[in-house]
Amino acid sequence: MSKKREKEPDLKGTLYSVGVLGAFIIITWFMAFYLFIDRF
Amino acid sequence: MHIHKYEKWWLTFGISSLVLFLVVVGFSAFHYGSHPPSAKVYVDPERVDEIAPFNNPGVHKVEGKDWDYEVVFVASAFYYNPPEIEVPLGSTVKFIATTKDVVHGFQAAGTNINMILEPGYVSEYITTVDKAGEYLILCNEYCGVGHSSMTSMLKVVE
Repeated sequence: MSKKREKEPDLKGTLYSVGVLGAFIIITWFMAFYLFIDRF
Repeated sequence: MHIHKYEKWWLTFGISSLVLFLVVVGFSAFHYGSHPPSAKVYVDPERVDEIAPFNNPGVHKVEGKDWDYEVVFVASAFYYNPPEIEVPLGSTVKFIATTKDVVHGFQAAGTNINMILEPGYVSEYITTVDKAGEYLILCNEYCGVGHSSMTSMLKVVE
């Protein structure tokens, strides 16, 4: 019984796209937080 | 269970962001003591005009407290009493507000002063007004036909 090891899928594009999404969330969160800190 | 290398990176990133955001919120809550502006203070909505401090709306200088001025607002359909207030730049102000009838909002545009006013409850917010200017106070909870014209003005003067 030989089970062929599955090849890892290439997820580089996925990584980049979720990276862009993550960066967007972090940046906009800090922009809103800065606005909150800056205002009285 | 097999997890792809990139998926591990993403999970680490996601969980760290969550932890970071919660630490920021927790720090502001437990260290600075920030909380929603609806304090656990009650007032009889039928008798607001007779009960202190709402029997005397306006700006009051106070001594021996953590704040310099108390600003008392009474909201009702469809206006704020007082219709305009003036506080000196750099002073620490406690806003105390309630409503006589329905739910109203109390937001000074361009600032963090943003409270909901519910009948029977007193909403409070303490802040140091460190930027001069005129800030429109407006109702941001739909309260009826006159909602859009329900405003007051906060003037921070030097």
